[in-house]
Amino acid sequence: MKSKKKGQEEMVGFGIIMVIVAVIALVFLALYLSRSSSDIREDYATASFVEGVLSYTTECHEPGKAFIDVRELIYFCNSAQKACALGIDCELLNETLRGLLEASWDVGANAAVKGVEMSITSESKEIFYYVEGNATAEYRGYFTEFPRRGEFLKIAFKAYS
Amino acid sequence: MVKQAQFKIQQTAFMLVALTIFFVLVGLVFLGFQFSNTREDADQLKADQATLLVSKLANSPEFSCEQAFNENKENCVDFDKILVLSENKEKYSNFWGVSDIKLRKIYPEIEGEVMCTKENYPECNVVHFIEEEIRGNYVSNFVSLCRKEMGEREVYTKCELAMLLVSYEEYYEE
Repeated sequence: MKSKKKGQEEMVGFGIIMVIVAVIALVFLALYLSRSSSDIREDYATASFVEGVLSYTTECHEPGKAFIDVRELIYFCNSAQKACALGIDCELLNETLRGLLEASWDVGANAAVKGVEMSITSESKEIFYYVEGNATAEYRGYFTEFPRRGEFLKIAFKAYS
Repeated sequence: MVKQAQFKIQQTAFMLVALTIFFVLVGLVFLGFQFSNTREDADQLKADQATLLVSKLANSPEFSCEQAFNENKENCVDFDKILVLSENKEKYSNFWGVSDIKLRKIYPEIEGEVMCTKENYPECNVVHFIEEEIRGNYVSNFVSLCRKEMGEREVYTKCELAMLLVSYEEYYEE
């Protein structure tokens, strides 16, 4: 009788060990499956978009002088010195950036990109801000800054998915 | 006494065998799961290769602005150069190892799809490089599309925003 009970106890013990090992294996499997792959490709898309925007040649120029790109126009919009005829630097910057954003990103509730947001700031003020669609918890983005005459101009862009 | 000891040894042996079989089964299940992702991994690898190729294309001598615009810009595509390249596409049909390469100007916007030729350049928005049966998925990258333009008194560099699209074939067809 005693030996039968002992045998049963040992079987139960063995079964418990099997269950514990199975649970630990499942936990490791769950952790392995839940790891997210890096989104380097998609960050590259937002980075190349922002760099392409900064290199875009605007319609801004003083008579007899060369057209300036968005990077330079941001600086002139922020400073007292103006580069465009009639001093419409900020208006032109606004119009150009909005056009670029609307043409480049297909934003919608049913689209891959649910929303976009771009902000350009200096150390003292906000130069440009644009948002379209909905901000979600998941996004890919790019941030850069460049110095101009002792001041840093910062650009942040996010594409929500 | 001896029989009891033999019985104990047998017990331990059976337990070890059972444990080994159990871990072998777990390992087989895990390996089966790993190998079932091989097809997706192969497609992902191709997609990564295509994305890298998109980046490399934009900075390759055939596409890149290089020193033509007095600056070494990354992801800068020379519009003048690629127009000539597109007219010699048969010479480059197997050069890059992808199904299709297309360049699409995004801004300023042009209505519809206007293929670039010598006659309508630069008032066009699509340059197509490979004329083969197109299969597979596209990956893309934003680039600066730059060219020389005549101003009031001098030639200047004009850069617009475009997208470089590369198509790669999936390893398995469904």
